[in-house]
Amino acid sequence: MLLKLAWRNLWRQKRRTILTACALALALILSLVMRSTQEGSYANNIENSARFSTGLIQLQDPNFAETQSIDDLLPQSDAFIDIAKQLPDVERVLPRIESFSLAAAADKSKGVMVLGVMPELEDDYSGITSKLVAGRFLKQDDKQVLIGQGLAEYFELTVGDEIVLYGQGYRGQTAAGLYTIKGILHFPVSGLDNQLVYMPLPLAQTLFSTNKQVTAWVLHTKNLSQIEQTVNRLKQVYSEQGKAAGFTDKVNVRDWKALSPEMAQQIAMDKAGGIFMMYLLYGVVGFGLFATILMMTLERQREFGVMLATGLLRPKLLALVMLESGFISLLGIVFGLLVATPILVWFNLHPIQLTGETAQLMLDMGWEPIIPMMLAPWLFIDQILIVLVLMLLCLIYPLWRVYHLDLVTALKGGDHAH
Amino acid sequence: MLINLAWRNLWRNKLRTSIMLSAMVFGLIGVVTMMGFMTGMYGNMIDNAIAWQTSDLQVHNRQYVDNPELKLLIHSPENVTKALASMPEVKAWSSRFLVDGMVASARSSRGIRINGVDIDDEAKVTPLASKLVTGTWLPIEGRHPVLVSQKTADRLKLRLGSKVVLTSSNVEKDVTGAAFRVAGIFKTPSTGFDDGNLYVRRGDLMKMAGLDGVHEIAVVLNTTSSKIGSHFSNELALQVKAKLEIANKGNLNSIRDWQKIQPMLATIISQIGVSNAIVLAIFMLAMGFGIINIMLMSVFERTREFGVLMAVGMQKHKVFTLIILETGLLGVTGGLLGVCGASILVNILQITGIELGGMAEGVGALGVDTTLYPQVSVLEYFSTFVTVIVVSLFAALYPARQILKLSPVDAMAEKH
Repeated sequence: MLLKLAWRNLWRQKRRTILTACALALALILSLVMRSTQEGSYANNIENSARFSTGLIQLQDPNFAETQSIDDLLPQSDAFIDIAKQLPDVERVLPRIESFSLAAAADKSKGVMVLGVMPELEDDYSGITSKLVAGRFLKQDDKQVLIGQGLAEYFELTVGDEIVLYGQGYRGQTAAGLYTIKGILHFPVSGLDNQLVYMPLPLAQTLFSTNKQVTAWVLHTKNLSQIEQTVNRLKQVYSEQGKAAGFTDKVNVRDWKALSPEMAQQIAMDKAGGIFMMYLLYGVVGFGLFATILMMTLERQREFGVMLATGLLRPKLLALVMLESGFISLLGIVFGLLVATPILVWFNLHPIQLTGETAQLMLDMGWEPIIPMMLAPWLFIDQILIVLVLMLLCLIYPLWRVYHLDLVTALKGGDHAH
Repeated sequence: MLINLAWRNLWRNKLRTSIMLSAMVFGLIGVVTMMGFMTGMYGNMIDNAIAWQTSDLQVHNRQYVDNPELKLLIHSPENVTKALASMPEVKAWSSRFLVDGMVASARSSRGIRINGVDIDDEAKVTPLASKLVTGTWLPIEGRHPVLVSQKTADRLKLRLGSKVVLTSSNVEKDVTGAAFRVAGIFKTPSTGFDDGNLYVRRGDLMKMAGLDGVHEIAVVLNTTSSKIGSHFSNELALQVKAKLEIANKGNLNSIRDWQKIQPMLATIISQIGVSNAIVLAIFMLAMGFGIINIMLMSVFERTREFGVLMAVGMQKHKVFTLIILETGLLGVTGGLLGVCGASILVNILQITGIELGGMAEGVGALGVDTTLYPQVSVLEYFSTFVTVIVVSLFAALYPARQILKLSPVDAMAEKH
């Protein structure tokens, strides 16, 4: 009964209902698009930086974080890594050597980052062969290297040319070697593109004389949102089970936030800006909504008065007002979702590819120049909840007014009767 | 007359008008602060990049720009410096000898750009000498002093007096190196810059590379940061560049202003305006809906009244003007209050600053200081204010039309 009444009441003032619902829908659409764009780019950047540089989690020697020295190593043995592998959430493990050395070709030199990897495993993980712009990908027993495109341009090198690496190896030994370039890789992250030399792990171990040791074990987990738990579990298993093998206190577990704090904080900052903007938007819409609902109730004092006089209980009247507002928000939500969802789905499948200056700007900042959108239920649920909470906030005062309606004045047309 | 009437009408329903005004003030304060924050952040980023990295102008060998080879020195740098010395707008310049190489301690090694600088000149060009974390600026005396960044010092576990080895290839294409002692540790706002640069004396570096000359001359002008008014402009730098080109015989050297050196900075400047406009547009759209709603209500409540007005001979266009005026006045009041509120908040924040200490690494990667001061120009306040009024007027069109569609008789018969 009440439902029907509320529904009919809504359509007595068609225009107002539709406009209010539209305002809500607009706020919902804008916030949804904005938030899903943000979250989408974050996820994309985390994935990118994980796959092509740091990984989601790394096991390192406790000193390595600070020194990044080739002296602070972990064993490359099954006994060591099996402890991590037994965790259900750990999907992949990749051994890597990461160190710096001087590269020289012709009469130029430059400090570069040498990355020693298991080529098949890495390709399987990141599909890095697709980033090859010239030459062929590495095999595990190759004595050749791949270099970043930016670096190749700096040295003016192409496939088949030679490059000298000269640096510091394990425990002060000299690390020097002459390598043929087998291929050139284009990395989306310009910091890497300009200074990366990519070689098979055994070759890197020979270069730096580290034997069967690595600077890091890169772990990939199945679920991006569960990283924290996995990190804690890893710390736990290494301190418990590592005891027998002597690994206690020799392993540092770091997640991507610790590995690239710059990105983590930029994300946090950007997110804060987006959320601020979102609340601002909802604030403005909220004021409009408040005005509408308040007017809707104040205007109808006479009507309410009659209803009360003919025996409607006050709680029921409140329920009626709430139902009406509920309908409006529902309309707004449905309308908003109807518009927003196709947009989000489309851009989720076809991310916007940026071009020109803006793209270059993003590349320079280390971001990939695409704008993917994230489709996640929690994003939708968050926004819908916010709209509902907004509605409730706006209802408090009008409801209070209705509840304390003075019957006599109301029947005369209310305080503001002309 | 009409204005008076409109103003009074507006205040017949004080509650409703106040709510709408609050919405405007709330939104405007938020939006202006946010725009100020963004402008402040990017402005700071550009200021820092000019102060620490690009200076106002840089001179290189034309080929060196694309292909930084050791041999590609500036052609007759003395001509350039002579020309600079004769220009009143030039404040200082610094000649640098640059080598890409490695820095290694007993603990670790990193790839780095070695900046060989003339001590006195460099101190005038970048704030480096005055912003040391510990130690002193490169001394004239002493064997092979080096300035490293805080970040490099942490990575390589260096303290004042620690020994580091710098290696690079020399002019004969052999790997060469020398030991240096840390004389001071610096920290710039940009972590990327800190990660990739260290400073030694030019003489020491030239000896190590086996070559004499200059790779780069960085020039700063008297008008700091090329800032004219509140807008970033490279106009002055371009004027000096034009004068320098006269001395640049055969076009052998490349002279670039800061926007050319880091095109990213120019892009950012154009981006600030665009992103601020988007923020403002989104907000105005939401506010416009609110105003339409409020005006619709207020107009329909008074349908009968408007009917009477028309019946007693008020022309339709006057009724129309009345409604437009009401909304316009609402917009002006809201806009004024909002802009005043926003400017008070922004002025407070300009004194206190916004602390971003917890995000030190994130802002460091962008080259931004950890305390930010929002920047809002008078023009921005004004354009925000105008936008509010324009949006209000547009929002009034629909409700006003609805009334004019009715004939006086129907309007007077309207009940609610």
